[in-house]
Amino acid sequence: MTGKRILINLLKVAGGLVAVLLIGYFIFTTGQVSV
Amino acid sequence: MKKIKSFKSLLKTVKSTDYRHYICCALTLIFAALTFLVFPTSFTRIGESLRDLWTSVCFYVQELFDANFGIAPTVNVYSTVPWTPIWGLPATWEEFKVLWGKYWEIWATKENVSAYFLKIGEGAEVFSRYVLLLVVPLMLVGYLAFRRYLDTHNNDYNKESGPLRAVKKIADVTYIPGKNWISGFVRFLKEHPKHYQTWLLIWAINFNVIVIFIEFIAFYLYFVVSFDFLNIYRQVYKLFIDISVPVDFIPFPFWCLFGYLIFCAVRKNIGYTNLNHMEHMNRGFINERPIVYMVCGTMGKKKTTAISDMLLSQEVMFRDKSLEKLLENDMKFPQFPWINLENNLKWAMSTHRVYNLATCREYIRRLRALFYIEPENERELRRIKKQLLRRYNLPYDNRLFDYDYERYGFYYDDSLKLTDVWSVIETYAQLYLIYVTQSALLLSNFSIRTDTVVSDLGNFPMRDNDFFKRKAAEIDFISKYSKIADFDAFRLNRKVIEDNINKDSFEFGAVGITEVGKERKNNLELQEKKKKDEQTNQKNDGFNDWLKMIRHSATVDNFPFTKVITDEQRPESWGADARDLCEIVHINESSDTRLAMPFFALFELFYALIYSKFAGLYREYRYMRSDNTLPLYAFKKLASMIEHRYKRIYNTFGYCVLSVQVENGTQDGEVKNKKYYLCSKKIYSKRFSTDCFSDYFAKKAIRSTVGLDDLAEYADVKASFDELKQQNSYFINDLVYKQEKEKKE
Repeated sequence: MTGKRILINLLKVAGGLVAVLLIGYFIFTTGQVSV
Repeated sequence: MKKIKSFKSLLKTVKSTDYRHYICCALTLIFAALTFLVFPTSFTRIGESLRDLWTSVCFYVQELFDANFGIAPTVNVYSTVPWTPIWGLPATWEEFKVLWGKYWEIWATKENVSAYFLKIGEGAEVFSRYVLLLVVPLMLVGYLAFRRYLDTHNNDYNKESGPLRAVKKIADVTYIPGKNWISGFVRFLKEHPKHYQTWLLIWAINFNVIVIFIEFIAFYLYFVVSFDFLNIYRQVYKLFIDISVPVDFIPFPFWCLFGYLIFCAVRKNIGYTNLNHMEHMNRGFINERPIVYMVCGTMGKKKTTAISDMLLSQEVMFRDKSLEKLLENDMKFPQFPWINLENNLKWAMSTHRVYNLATCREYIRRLRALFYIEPENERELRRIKKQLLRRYNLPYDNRLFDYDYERYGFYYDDSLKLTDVWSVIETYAQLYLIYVTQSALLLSNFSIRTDTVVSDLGNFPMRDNDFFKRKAAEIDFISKYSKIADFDAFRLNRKVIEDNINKDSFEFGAVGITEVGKERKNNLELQEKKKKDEQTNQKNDGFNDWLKMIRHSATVDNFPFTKVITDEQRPESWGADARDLCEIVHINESSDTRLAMPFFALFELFYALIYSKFAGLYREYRYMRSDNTLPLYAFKKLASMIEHRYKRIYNTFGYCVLSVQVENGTQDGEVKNKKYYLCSKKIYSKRFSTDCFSDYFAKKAIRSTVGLDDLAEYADVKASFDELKQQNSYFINDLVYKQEKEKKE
């Protein structure tokens, strides 16, 4: 795998992580409200 | 005595029954017991949902006929089962609105963000603790063990170390029988689906799946007549109550597993959608091209790959087009019993009376003639009847395939012309022939594999032309190969073999000619060949006339069912007379392989990390040692599993983009930039051989008594005079000749 491809994959993974964190934040806030 | 006998026969039956049936029955009993012990409220909910359905049906009928049965709908009534819904969902719309406002107030506060990251920090701490305590030391131990092995050299060819032998012995009595039993049990369940269908039913009851389905229908019936938007929230609340049962019961790790499986299914689905989209783009590209076109590019530019891909798509397009036109013609006489015509054609094809478009037309025309004959006497009538039955397998009374033309009409008016039923039958029959022909509609000078699956229940056959979902293990059983292109069939004048049985065989289909320039040559190469020559050659065989007239033999219902796709390295290698007919598709470059399936980046990074580490260590290991050790065995197993998954995903969802330029065959027009997609699963699944002419070179090489190791090697960086002479080069020979000539003078 080339360096460029690794970099692109790293960026994709970082993007995915941000999306997961954001979804997690929505769920977390739901929990805070219902409490 | 009778009792003993019946007991013995019972014992015999019990013994002869597969023991896995008993395991399945025991599981069924356990699941059923759970229904009563753990999910007793599911019965209450089913009762409530059935009540809701009944009152909704009554309400629906009541409103529809403006009647009054005195039954009020109960679908909006809360369940009597004392459940709390998941995620603390409020019971009423008013409460929800209050919480909704509160949610967005909290959402944007600094405190909430801090609390969230604090929570993540706690989670990360637990995760990293396990990673640091378990995974990292294990990896370190493994790595050090491996490195220790690399320090010692041996030549113990294929000898297994003690720990490896022990692990294999343990696996022989634990893992392997366990794995075999589970896979056997899964096969058993597939063979006896009633077991798992019963389990699915029980768990559908337990998890309120049936309740949700019934409640949905009940609410639908209520809503379509009441349009009660205000109570939609109540239904959402009830839904959340029902799904809280599986959410509470199934442990979190299982939800993670389900989530992952759903995630995999979704991304695969997206992958297949993308591949199908590319296939449709390719079909659009092929449709834009003229009947004859040429793909050009230097060596290794994927010319033959591209034309094979185009031919495969073209074949499917012919079948799809014939199906589309069959329906069009069917609609012209909607009451015509087409199945009778199809069955008659099947019979004619099986008796080789119909085997191409011409014989098909002729067959229908003769039937038409017999239909129009009005017998003058009884004898003639008998003769016609006999002929119809013997030659066409049709009773006289059924000679228009049982079509009642007096009732349903004999002509079709499309506001352009009047078409009689026999003309439509003739067109339909030809289209049907194209659609049902079992062979691939491909003729080529190299072999191409197709794998269309035809399902026929004795009615209208269906073709499954999918390129992306075939299992590799199945392809050998469903494959058909392209027909051998006999060039005599493409020659209108002289043939290489004058009495060739195939010389008139070509009518329709996609023709693929690789390296067309080497077959047909250009004007410069054919200078010495003359039209008047006795021997058949490229100038007198009428191939170019065939190309110019090709659509005439293949047109059915105004659509030409033919295409000629060729490839060559340079356009000029093919003579201008033929080349000017074509469009030229230049392959400029091919992209790297990309993936049509999204969300694979993390695994790809993981693969790159593990595989590169393994490859380095494995090379070193192979250099130092020849034995098999436990760390090597384990590491190789892990790396191969990861590598196989990576390869399978790339082979299924991989594609590369060909950047192509399209220009006229006259090479004087505008050049258009286009893209063509080569999908790995479609084109590299044993579709063609890239070295399609290798058999010729293999025969040549087998004659040789000398291999690469036997060839002479230069003695130094500067070649000696004798070494230069060994090259048998024109240039060196000229120099040597000149030198020797000068010497003589």
